[in-house]
Amino acid sequence: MTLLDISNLQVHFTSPNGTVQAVNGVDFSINHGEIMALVGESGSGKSITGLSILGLVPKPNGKIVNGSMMFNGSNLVDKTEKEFREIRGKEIAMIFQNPLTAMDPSFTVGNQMLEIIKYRQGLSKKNGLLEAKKLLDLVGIHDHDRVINSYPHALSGGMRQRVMIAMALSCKPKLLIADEPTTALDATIQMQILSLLKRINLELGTSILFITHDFGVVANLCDKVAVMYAGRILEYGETQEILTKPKHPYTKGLMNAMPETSIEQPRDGNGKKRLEQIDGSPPDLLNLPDGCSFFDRCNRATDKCCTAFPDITTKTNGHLVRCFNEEEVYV
Amino acid sequence: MERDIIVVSRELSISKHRVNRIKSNTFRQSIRVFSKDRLAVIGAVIVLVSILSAVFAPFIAPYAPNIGDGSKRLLPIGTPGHILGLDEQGRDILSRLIYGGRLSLLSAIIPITFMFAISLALGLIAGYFTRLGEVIMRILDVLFAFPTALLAIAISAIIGSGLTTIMLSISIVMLPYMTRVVYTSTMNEKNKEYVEAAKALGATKFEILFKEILPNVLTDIIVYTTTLMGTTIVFASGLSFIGLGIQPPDADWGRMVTGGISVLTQGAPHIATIPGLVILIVATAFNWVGDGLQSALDPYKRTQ
Amino acid sequence: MSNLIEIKGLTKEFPTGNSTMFKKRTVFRAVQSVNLTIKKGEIVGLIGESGSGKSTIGRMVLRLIEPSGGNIIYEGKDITNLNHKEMMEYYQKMQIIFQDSASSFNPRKTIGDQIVTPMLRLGVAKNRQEAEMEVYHLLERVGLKREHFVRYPHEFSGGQRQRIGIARALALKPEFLVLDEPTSALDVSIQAQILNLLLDLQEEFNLTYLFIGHNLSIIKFFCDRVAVLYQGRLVEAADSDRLYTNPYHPVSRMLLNSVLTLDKKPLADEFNENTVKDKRNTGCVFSGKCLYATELCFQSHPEMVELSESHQYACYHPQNVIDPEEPLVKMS
Repeated sequence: MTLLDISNLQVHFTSPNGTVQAVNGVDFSINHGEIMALVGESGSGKSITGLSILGLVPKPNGKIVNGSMMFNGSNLVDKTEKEFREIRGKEIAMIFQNPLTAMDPSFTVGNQMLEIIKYRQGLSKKNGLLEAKKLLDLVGIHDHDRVINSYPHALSGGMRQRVMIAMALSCKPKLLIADEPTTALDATIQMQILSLLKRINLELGTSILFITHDFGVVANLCDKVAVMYAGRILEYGETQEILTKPKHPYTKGLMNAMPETSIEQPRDGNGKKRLEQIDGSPPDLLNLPDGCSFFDRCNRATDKCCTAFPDITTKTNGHLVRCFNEEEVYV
Repeated sequence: MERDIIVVSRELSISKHRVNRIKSNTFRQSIRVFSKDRLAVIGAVIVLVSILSAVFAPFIAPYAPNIGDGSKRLLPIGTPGHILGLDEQGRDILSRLIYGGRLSLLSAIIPITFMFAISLALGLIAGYFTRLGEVIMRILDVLFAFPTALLAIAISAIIGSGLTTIMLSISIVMLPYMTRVVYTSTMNEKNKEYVEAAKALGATKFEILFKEILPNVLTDIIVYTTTLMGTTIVFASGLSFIGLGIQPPDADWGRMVTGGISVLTQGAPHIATIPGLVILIVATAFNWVGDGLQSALDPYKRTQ
Repeated sequence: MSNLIEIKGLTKEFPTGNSTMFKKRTVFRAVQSVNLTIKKGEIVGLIGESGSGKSTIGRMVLRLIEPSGGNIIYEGKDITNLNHKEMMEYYQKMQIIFQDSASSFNPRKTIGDQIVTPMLRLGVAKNRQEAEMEVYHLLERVGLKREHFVRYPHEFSGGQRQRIGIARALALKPEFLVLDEPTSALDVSIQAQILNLLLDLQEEFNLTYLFIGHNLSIIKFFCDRVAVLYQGRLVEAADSDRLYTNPYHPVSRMLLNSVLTLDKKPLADEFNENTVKDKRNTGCVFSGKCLYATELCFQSHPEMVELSESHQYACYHPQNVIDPEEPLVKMS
């Protein structure tokens, strides 16, 4: 059952040098209980997409100029700030990359948790504290009193992220948007957080939109994946399908750029160890080219690629890709 | 013969390099940014006009500043031959303003300029060498504590009133403030990674201090100094106002205000108000220039 | 291959808190008794999580941070206590690439200037013209243009700035480079470019690298040998491939298990959720979190065991002895 259905989302930013087309026609949907990955590098528009869902696009420069986001039968694009306040934290919650800056440094963790619990659930302080402890248990923190009485900076990075997740889950939202929540953490802590998110998805049925650049995380956590580049989705489908048979050269290139997710052995023509690199750098979002935005970096590009942006072609298994020169069939 | 060929070819490649050398246009970029700020340009014009008229006072001023015509005292603005009127002793206000500018500007620019150099050196050293820095700043704290007017009075008690007194008082009073700005700036910069990188590239402590840190500290102190110019003109005027600075019949702008206060109620408000306005305008002009300089010296703004 | 760098008993303590008349000053042991040898032409990796001391070690080799104890020996000469003038020769031979390319450049000088100045200072170029010409060549070698000489650091992207950092280091014609997480702050697609460039340059100029990182698969790909650090101590050192297939120390196993590959795996963690704190503080640095810790582990820190010339570990209960034939993780 579809929880969130995004169709042709376009977000533009006005700047003194022109209009930045940060999100340029994005379509995807998330079902109940599903974990979906939005993969891309900086400038791909993945974070802005996440922010748009909650009406958090930075004003006044940023604006949703087109598209719809159907959630619970209504269009999020039309919601007013007042209406969003009922949705944020309650129906849809968000966690960020750096919990230290997302929390107030002058108040204890307990104080901040109680603030949300009391505001949303109207509980007394005593009951609110009990609820807070239950939430901490949910995220695997059993050292209640110490954590509740600590200030954010006194906790470790992993602990902080867990507290953030606890706060995000306090109203049992249907959808959790996670914007690179583990990028700044050690790999071992990342494992713990991912395992926690998986457990929450299974136990509470919370859908997750996981924004990342790491295909390893996608492979181990997410059911579906969409690959974004310069504001557009280039490839979309079930994780297993996309990761075993990536059709878009960018997807393949991105996977091969990391040794742990390399499809082929990292070796060049002379047998020397080299990663398969994507040349060039991300495009200038102020001046997007007419054709495919990946044209100047693509090793499979042909003349056709700079004339128009490729339409969506549907492969088997709901695997969608936008490319004129897809990668060959894999054995 | 071979050696000559080598030398000649080296010379050729160096001169070819001189021709192909990529030129930096930092200066042009700074001017461009500065000129975009309209207030900064206006401020610069005002400051320039003030300084030039002070320098060329004998050629510009229509009358001698200290010679008064008793029969013409208190005449208002627009009196024929005296655009700004005459003061309580029948002296031409415009001329006194121009000559007074010499004293006001001098008493601000000279001490501030000297203190700029001293505070820069002192602040850099205090900020970089922590233990020495603590000693230096504690000593300066003593100066911080002095009430400025009392200091001026004390100095004038020793060497009498006059321009030197004003300049000395201003120097002593401003030094701790200026040094502290450089000091805090230096402390911020010395922990940055580019300083570490400089160490790895073999820089000595003094090379780091004066070639790496100084350029990054300069903006803060230059901007602070320009704002101080305005403050100092007011301060110097204040000292003259209470009789410690310039003695009559010479006058800086502050003294002119003093003279005008006494006749404020006699229907000649222009005598005190005009110099007061000039102080305000020139001080503000310096501030605007400071803001413009801040943008012009900022590498981020330059390259937009 | 001869030893280019030998690190012996390297230690670094940072004072924390203030000493008063009654309370002795507490110290934070960032690095404790680390021994490491780097042969000429080798690429050695230093891996550890945050707080492992890896960056501190990298900086101590260049004497950017002064060691509290131990020795750094460069080509047989002990450089630990040389003064600035004596070190000049070594600043030319050893250089460093920083993680944050933005902050490691002076924002108020052109990048060309920042490369030329050390060249003149360390005597690599005779005069300014010669230096400038060399810098133009270097900029092109690392994938930039000579016009970039007069630009300022903020005018470049992260990847370009990192290339400038490489050019700045190479300008001095060094033998040895410390690479302090050179790609951690870059986008994935740019990371691959920079890593490939560093490998090309290593071959071309016969350089020796000390690569500091936290991503085990990048280190395994990039490095010939890997040293694993945990809270300031060296816990295992082995050839890259061997560490991947046959890790002995629980920390190495833990790090390996945290690598997420395309093969799905159960997301469990293999160490104690809550750290067990032992007041004595003399035991193994990992004892608080280790699943296999015994009383012995809390009592004293294990000595380094030499399994072979290239494989050492420091553990009382190495985990690979249970089934030495079975590799822990599939080699990718």
